[in-house]
Amino acid sequence: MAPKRGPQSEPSSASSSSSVPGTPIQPSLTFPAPPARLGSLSRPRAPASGLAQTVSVGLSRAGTGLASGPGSSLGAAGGLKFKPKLVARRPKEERDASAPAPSSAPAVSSSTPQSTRGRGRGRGRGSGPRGGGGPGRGGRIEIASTAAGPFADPSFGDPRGLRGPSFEKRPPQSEKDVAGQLKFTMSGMSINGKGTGESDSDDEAIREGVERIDIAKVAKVGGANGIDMGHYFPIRDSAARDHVEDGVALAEDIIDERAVSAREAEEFVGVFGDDGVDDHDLERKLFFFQFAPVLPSFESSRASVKLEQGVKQEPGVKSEPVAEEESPLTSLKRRAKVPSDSGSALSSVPGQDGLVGQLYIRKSGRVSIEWGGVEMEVAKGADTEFLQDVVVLDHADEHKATLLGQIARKVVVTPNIDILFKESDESE
Amino acid sequence: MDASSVPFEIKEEDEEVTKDISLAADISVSTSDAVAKDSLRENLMPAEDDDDPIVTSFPIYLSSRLASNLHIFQYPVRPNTRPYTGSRGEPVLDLRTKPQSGLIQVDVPINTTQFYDHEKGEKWGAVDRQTLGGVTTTSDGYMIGIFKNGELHLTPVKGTCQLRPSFTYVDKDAQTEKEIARSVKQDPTKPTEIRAVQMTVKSSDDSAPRYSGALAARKRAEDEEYVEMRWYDKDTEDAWYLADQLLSASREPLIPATTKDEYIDLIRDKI
Repeated sequence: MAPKRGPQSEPSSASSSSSVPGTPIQPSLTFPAPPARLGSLSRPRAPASGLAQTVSVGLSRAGTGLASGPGSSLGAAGGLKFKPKLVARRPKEERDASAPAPSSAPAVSSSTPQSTRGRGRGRGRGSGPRGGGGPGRGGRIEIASTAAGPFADPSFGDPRGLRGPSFEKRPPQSEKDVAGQLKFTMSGMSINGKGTGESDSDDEAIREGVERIDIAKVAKVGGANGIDMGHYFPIRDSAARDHVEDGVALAEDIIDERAVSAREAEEFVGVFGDDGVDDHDLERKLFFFQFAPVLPSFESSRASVKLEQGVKQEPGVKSEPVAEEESPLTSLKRRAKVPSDSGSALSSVPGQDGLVGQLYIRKSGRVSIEWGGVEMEVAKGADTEFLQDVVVLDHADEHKATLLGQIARKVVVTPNIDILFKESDESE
Repeated sequence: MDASSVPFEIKEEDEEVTKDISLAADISVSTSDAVAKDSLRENLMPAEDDDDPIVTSFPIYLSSRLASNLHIFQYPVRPNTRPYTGSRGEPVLDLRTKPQSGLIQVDVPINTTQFYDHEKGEKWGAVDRQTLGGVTTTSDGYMIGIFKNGELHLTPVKGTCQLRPSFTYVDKDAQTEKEIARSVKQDPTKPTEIRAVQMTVKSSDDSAPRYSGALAARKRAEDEEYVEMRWYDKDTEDAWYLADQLLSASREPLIPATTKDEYIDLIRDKI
């Protein structure tokens, strides 16, 4: 039951208590001040009990996303009962009619050649805000028809409907929608066309003055500092099936599976770049690698500074190859040279330079590193929105600070414990 | 040292790398065969699933040339779409460090045409620049990697620093105000008296009170002088030269010195 006494700390409560019909205010009940973000609460309001209503109403409204404005109307109404504001749902026909066109089925934010990666994840993303607070039944129809849509093979699709996955900004249709609308701008076209069935609705949508944005092309909506699509649509909406006709539902099932595996694979493919591993793109970027603080170490004939935490370097040659895999390497020892000196004026520390491992990329997109005989898993690190620069600070002759560039991506590398233990067991 | 000295083949089949994640697509892979042929690395190949064969591989080289100079500057208050570079008209103007303490200060320009409060600007005498400051910390396992010619080169990072706006101008302002207030209070007409001062000699042994811990570090940092550094922007000759230094100096394979069991122990000890 909603508290009947509003927050006693409200300045207005003292003066307005008299207007409360027959309810004595008990000074012993003190509630903490309501959070400032519920704007309606911080405004001095007439009856103290009205505040109570506002608290619960405001919260409930926030919860359901019904941003129909401050509950001042309720508060001012007085009385102690909580009367939820009922909003009738529009009849299905109305909803269907005003639903966004099928083409708006969104994909993940990535540029066109990457749309394949985006398909899976983006699938669910778009279902979110469309239709506002309600389940948006009408809106599901377009997903259903994506058998020919962006999630399908590129050979599908109607070249005519080159709009591709996109979002729409619809003028608020009802109170439900208000909270759910995002402002988008129009953008270009994608390669993947849509099914023929959708183009009609496209036109209709356009006639309605709906702005369309091509998600396949835009990573950030609303300009460079705009909204990152990834924030809003991380989850695939599986409720779509319910409203779909059988034939289309079947196609959708097939798409779903692919979408799921695409989404999973995408975690790996996305490690170095949205485009999978493409030398051309890779070479211009600085990647930040986070390895485990403890790494298999390497020998050098000098006592070297521990650049990797690990076994202390012994000046001699380590003589026992324990793991079977290392035996071929002992043959290398004979002809291995001392890792060459840096030779650069910059580094006075004798370090280690040389081949230490391999980076493998598998067909599914899974990435792994073999480092000094230990296999490691590679994953994409968390993206950050803030600036990260790589800078070289040199105090040698001149005090120089040089900016090399921004960090493009983070990569996290962890030892594959399963394999590590499995192989260790086997060798015993 | 060029690629030909590498004892094994590097196969790259970029075209076959999936741009299309469609699993139904049939991608023939021959890379794994080629690599497996190499006897030297053969036993080091990771276990391959037949249904998930290796498509591409890059040799990884460790590079140490910049290892004691490489830093990461993080600007938590700045979006990554607006870097401090000359190309955007907002280059770093000045950089000062205290090498021993790891303190770093960076001056960046402020756009005084938009969203700038001139009144406050005058009050604080902050002309057209803002100072960001931070402390460097070190961490293990951080590396910067670049790809070049199908190779990945990793250089360990010396330190990371988060640069946040420092309000030294406000401090200065407050200090100035204090001084003004103090001088007003003092009666300038009264001559400063001459007093006899008694000198004592205090032998400093361990009983003398000293700073410790964080306070000591702070004192040390305050006593240290800033070293002015010359800033070289991105995409300059110097920057390109240094970027090349990120590449490893050697292509020779390094010999692993840790066995798997030892590595397990190391991990366990670290935890």
